Amino acid sequence: MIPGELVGLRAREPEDAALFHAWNSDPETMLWWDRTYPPVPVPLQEERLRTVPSPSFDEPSFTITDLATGTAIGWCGLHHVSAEHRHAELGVMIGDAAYRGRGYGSDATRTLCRFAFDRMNLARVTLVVFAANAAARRAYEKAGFVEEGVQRRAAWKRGEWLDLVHMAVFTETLR
Amino acid sequence: MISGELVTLRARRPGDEEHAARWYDDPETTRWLLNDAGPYEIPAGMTTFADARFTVDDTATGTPIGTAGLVNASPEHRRATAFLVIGDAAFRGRGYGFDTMRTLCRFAFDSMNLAKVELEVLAGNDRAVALYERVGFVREVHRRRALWVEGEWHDEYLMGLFREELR
Amino acid sequence: MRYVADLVTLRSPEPGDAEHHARWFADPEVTRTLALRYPLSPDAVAQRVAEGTRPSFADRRFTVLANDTGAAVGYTALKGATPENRDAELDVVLGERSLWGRGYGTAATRATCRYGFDRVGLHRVHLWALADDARAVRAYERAGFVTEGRARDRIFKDGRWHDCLLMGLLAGELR
Repeated sequence: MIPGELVGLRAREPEDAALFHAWNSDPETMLWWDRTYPPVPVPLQEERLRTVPSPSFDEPSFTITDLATGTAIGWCGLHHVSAEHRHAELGVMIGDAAYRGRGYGSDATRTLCRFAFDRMNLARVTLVVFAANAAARRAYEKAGFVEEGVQRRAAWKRGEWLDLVHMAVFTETLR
Repeated sequence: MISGELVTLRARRPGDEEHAARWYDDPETTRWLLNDAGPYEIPAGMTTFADARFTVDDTATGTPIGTAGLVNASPEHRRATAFLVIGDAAFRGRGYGFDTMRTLCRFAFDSMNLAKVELEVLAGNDRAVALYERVGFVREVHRRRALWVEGEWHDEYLMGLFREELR
Repeated sequence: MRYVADLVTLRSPEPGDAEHHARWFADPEVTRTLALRYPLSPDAVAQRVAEGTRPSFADRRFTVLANDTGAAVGYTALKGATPENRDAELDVVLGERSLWGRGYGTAATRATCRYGFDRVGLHRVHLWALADDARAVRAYERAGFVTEGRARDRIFKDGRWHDCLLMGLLAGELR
């Protein structure tokens, strides 16, 4: 388990399947996720989690827990990890609504970035966020992420074209 | 076959590997590639929406001069990532790259019904950036220190082009 | 892929290289300093060469060509690097015995390390040399390698034990 201040990051387990399914089905959680189709049924999700590898350089994917109680509250991970270019793209989901807006998402972001820099020896962590998701952009900026540009009309969601903002952070600018 | 003014884009076929080996032996070609070129892949089946990679022929002589294509196409977001390599040095700086990219984008909009074509390019590759801008691509994202190339950190651009921007 | 350096060029291995490799591995003077003990069948040589045609972060192999003639003079490899530690083990084998003593070994060492640092993004390259292989040790020292330790009786070959030197080179130290 990788401890932050409020959250812990642990390996995903088959027992997380029902929660993952609930989060991925919740319109409020999925409001700002680029996911066109509904999630796979719980048994299939459980089967997948049984076969996913333990977190590794190529697939550092975690269940976020409340450090105080151990309750699973979300998911986070790094994608497109490049060994040569030493970068990866971050994704964080706080699925349990009770934990939103209370700093858990920011702490998970920071903990995962520290993990990327200090343990994986990466140089740069990026993320992509919907331009219209002002709250997330502010939170990422507070963590030290800097906006590097706008990918114009890059996602078709809820019947309209949406812009995506690209952000990045380096070890020396992470707050 | 997809015809431009100077070039023809066609399905890759056995025999192209030998040309590709020569292209990728040229340091002038590989210095701008974002990844180590593995073996030149000849898809077993047809060119598809999901895997539209072509060999580029000089139309006048039929000589294979490079490769171009569209990968990671998303049917929901209707965009794909383009790539272009003019491997034969004799065909560089003469409008073949420009014609290839324009022809490829035409194909993306008119045949694949994509709304947008995107590409990634090393920020220091001025010739390529200028070429893409002539085609109509716009720099959208400037990724700082994104790539480790030849012992230094380099910036990278994500560029994008909509149908109405194609020139 | 071709990586042009002083005196030599590194190129990606090709199936046709099996022919040179078979000849080199059949030369007892060449294998004297290698870990190789048992003769290799032609199939085994072809398989080793084929393995090298798909490079990865942890396994990059090169055929070394002499710039003046274009002929293959040997092979090099950078193996075992993890993306976190970014430390690879260097192999240098100069198979073409008629070309020994002309600086190809040092040139191939330099070119391969330069590739490792500049293209792969390695932090460190190390190697194990037979302690009594003075010619090789001198070539590595010329490239900037430093002897970091001596492993006693590390290799049993030719009826006796041999000490080995651990030599290391950090990014920025290459000469």
